[in-house]
Amino acid sequence: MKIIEVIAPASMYSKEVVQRAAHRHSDDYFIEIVQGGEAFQIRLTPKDGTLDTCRISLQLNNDLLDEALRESVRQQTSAIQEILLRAALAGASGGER
Amino acid sequence: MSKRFNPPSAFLSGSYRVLPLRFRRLPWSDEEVFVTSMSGDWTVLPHSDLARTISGDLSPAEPLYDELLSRNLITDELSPLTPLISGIRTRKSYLREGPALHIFVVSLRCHHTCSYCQVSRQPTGASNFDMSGEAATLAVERLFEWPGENLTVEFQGGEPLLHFDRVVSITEAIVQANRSHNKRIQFVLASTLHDLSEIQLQFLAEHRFQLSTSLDGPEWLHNANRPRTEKDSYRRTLKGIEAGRRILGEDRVSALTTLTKKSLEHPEEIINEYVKQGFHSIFLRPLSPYGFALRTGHRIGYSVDDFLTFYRTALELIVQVNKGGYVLEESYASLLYSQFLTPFPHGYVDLRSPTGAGWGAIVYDYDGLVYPSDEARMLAAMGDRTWALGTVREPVSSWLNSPAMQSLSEAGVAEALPTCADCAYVPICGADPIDHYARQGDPIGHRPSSPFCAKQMGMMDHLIERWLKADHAERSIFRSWALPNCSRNEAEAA
Repeated sequence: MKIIEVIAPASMYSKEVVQRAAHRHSDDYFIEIVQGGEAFQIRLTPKDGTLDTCRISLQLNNDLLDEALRESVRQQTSAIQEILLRAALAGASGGER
Repeated sequence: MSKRFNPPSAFLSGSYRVLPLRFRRLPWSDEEVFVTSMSGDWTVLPHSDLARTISGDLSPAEPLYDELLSRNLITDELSPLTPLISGIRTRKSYLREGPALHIFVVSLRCHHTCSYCQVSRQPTGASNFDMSGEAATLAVERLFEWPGENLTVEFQGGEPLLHFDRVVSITEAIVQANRSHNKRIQFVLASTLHDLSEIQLQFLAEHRFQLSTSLDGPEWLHNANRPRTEKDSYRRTLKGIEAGRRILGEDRVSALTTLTKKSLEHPEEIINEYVKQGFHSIFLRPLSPYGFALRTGHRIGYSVDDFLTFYRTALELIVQVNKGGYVLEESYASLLYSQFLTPFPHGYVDLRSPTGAGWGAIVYDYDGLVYPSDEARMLAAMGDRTWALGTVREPVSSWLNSPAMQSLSEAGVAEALPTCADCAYVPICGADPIDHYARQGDPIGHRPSSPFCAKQMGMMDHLIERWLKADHAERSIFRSWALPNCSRNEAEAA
């Protein structure tokens, strides 16, 4: 089975971003992530020999970009997210009328 | 030396804050993203604009700035967070009253032998599968321990008409007890409506029952899906629908369809049947992986992709029916459009976060055991009682402390689940731990391979695509589905 390899520079992507992006493809592929030097090597092995793999590298690169944006959103908003949820759901246990 | 000043925009740039947001590239337009706020406000914009927004490079002078402010995706010092807090609070307001749907399984007996049946039906003579008087009395006591002021009491089976005496005794006990509780209670009978007697109809009318039945399509399909030894399930159901409408009123009888593999080949015939029978809503409901459906899945089942292909075809046909002047809504599309187009919550327990199982619904089974959902009951009937909350002999407080409820709490909040946490659709989607347990053996589940997720994503993608590409007439149709009290004319004006 052909293994597809995608390189994710560690200067651009954190380990969590790489894991999240690769996880999205864990239905169709066995995933292996190797961190070496200044990059992550993502190895995808198709679970099914008939899978169309021609766009997977392009797709994974897009996913890496999107997960990096999501990580940025999380870093900017995690504190306010908790405050908003606490404010919005106060009394949701049914004790408040 | 002359002083050089930055232009005014330089002092505004970066003065906003990004609010928690989620996004998804549109499957049909890779460079555009569907972006949602915590409360489900949404917009579609180029991916490059999203990246600029997150990087802090958006200028207050841009129209996009105001657009994102209004959608609660960014904020600045002049914009209070109250609308966003209020939006989240409204969207999740179903949490404030506890379970509203209470299902009483009065008997497992049924005269059908449907291959896709979710329940462990029993022969019509097997009265040992009827709910006892003691279990019924205790279940009614438990019902009034819940805090909700608005309750729906639904009688299910098997076929509840085969143990109608218990329907009567439970209804009367609830009405009696409610004289001191003053809750608003809606009764529902989920039934084939076969062999309804005038006495039964008068009782149902007296207590303003809603009748919910199943109509799978034209006669040949309905009878094939729902075999009786007499081969006349369709005729009996139509007779029941007619009698229910005559005595209870047109709007008191609704129907839904269960889709087998055979059904998927005949969307037009199914829709035409609903029109022919005068229904104005149709619920295109795929099979569930429980009960008899699990054993016969290889014969009657189908993939999520097959279902979605059918659904797209059927929805287009329904839109054409509406354009032809006959009002017909698809119930699941109505539910999802109501979430896309209004800030309000819905009453559909299968699509909630926290999960509707236990948080929105309780099932009192015939034998006195209590479950958080019908699906949990099905699993128990198959020998797996993982999700039993307890029995009607125990107080509600003990159910809430049960291991099953603990598992539902841990796996039932979609916003905290892997992959769901980042999904743009999560503000209007739900978690279904019991479905994931049934299909994947794990309540949290693996979203990339989850049929639940694939179905939800596929339907939401399609409905959003249709909305974005719809002309004025189509949008008015979808808007009228989302706003049930809004007529087509009002929707067009909007």
